[in-house]
Amino acid sequence: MDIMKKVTAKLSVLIPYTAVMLLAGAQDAAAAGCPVTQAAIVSNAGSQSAKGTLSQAFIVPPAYEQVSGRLRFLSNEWPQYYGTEYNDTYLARLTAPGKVEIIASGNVNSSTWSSGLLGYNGATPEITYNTDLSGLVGKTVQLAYEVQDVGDTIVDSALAVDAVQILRTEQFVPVEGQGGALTGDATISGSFGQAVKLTFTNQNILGTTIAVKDTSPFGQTKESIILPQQSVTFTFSSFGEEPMGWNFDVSTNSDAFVVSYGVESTWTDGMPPNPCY
Amino acid sequence: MLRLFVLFASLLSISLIPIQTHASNNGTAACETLPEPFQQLAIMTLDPAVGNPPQVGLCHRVANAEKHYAKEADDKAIQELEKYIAGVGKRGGKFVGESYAAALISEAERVISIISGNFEPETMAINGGVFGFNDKAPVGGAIVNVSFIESGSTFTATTASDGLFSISDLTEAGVYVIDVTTQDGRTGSAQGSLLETENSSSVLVTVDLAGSGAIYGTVYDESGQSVPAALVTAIFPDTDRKYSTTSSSDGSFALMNVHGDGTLILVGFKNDTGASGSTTGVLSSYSSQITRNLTINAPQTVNAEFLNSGFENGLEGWSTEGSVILIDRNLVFTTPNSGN
Repeated sequence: MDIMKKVTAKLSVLIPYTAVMLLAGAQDAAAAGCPVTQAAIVSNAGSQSAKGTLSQAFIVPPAYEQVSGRLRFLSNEWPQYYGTEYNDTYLARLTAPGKVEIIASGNVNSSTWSSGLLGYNGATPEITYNTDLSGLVGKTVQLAYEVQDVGDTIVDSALAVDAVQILRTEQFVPVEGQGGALTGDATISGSFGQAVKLTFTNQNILGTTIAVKDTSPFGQTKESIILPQQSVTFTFSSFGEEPMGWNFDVSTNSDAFVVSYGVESTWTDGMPPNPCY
Repeated sequence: MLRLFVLFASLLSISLIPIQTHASNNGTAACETLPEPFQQLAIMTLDPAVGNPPQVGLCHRVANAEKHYAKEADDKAIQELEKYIAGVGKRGGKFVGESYAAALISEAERVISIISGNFEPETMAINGGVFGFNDKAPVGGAIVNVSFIESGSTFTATTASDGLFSISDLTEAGVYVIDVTTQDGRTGSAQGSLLETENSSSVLVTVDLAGSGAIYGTVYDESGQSVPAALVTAIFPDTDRKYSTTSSSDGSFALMNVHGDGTLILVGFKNDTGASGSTTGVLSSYSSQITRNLTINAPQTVNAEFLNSGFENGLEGWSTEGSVILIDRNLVFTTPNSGN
């Protein structure tokens, strides 16, 4: 197995870099109108610590509300070493004094795989995320994306990091015609923007659990506990031209479930379509 | 004539002060790195939402208040902050939006209340639920212990029949670890964060019968010193199990009764500095006890705000380890952006 891994290793190092050389300058073809942006490919290739890291630390200004973005895990461990101890991992985390949040984590064996790209044998679906910055005004926050070798340092994996965005409070506007009361499992759907904020308030005299799932393929699920008369806000992001269709399944495993909800979004009726992100 | 000259000279010197300051350092250097309780007010004052004027003048009010406060001249510090509030208020929304002006005034009043000793922190709550790992069913009668990692303060609650619990009237914030023991012997742990500016924190804990594995190690900082009171969390992505604990006074930690669910990611975190780090390991039926040390680092470079979100300026503002390269995003992500 080690010999096989060494052969694969040479390919894993050569192909990604070759691909990058061929792709250099692709941004020159960018059309006018939207910012020309790139994706970062963080790899454990050649790292003595068997780890690749991309991070940024910054002070949070008052208007920052969320960080959103998307990831794809790429690996040469798949498919040959899927299910083995060569189980490379990825991790995205947000840390600040008083707060640590695991934004995304996974490994080769826990992931769903499709055919590869950039010279990697396999790629996962897009993993979108949102993490909350409210309450961190004035604090130093670090956003870190990591990929680590496990079991060997021969075959490489990578994490593609894209569309890291700050969502500001003023970007969200209430969506008219949305909102109301729910007394059990339900669906909320509509044409919203790239970021959607759902706020639920518990109107019952008992606490309740709540889970909200973005039903798009590999969409996020967010869960919380809401005590009586308290609220919880979940923010979801997607990337593409707004408006875009959204569908959320709301569920609970509590018997007493009476919540009101409202929807805010970065796009609402009357705004022009926005193709940029 | 002499009086006229003195008056003219005085007016000239007054008008020159802000100009010189502005020329030397944009006039706001004085309030860029103020300690608590002035830090947040200074940062809010420096936000682009505040025009100039009055930004430089307000900045100096905050800086002056801090100087007086440092010399224990509390009355003068409060006077400066009252002038700050008046300075914000009289702009009438012309140079500072009304909602932002209200936020500035509220924060200044909060600082005044701290200085005057009248500050009463709002109480906060940790709300949560305990559920079975396998059946996701709520677990009533479970004992919930909450421990803030920095202070070591502990609080206890018992879950109701619906599996929910609440610990209220908290005046302490920060990262905490929750340990749960159920009446039928299942255990579970989790971590959460309670911020000063939020009323509550919500956390879900899953419980299961004890596993036979253990993870041992020590948390170190970048200089090799052991780190006590650090959060240590083990994540098993294959099963989505998580375990949390706090390092002891010598920096060592032990996660016991862990299920050998394969590859794990170990994350370390220090509450007061935000320093963090991670490593990986494998825990299985063949290797049910492992030792993994963690090194945590505080950021070496801190940007004044988030920079270069789309990597349009290469890797400016970002720090890297290992290989990091940039490519056309459309080659990796399928949703097109009209800009690319």
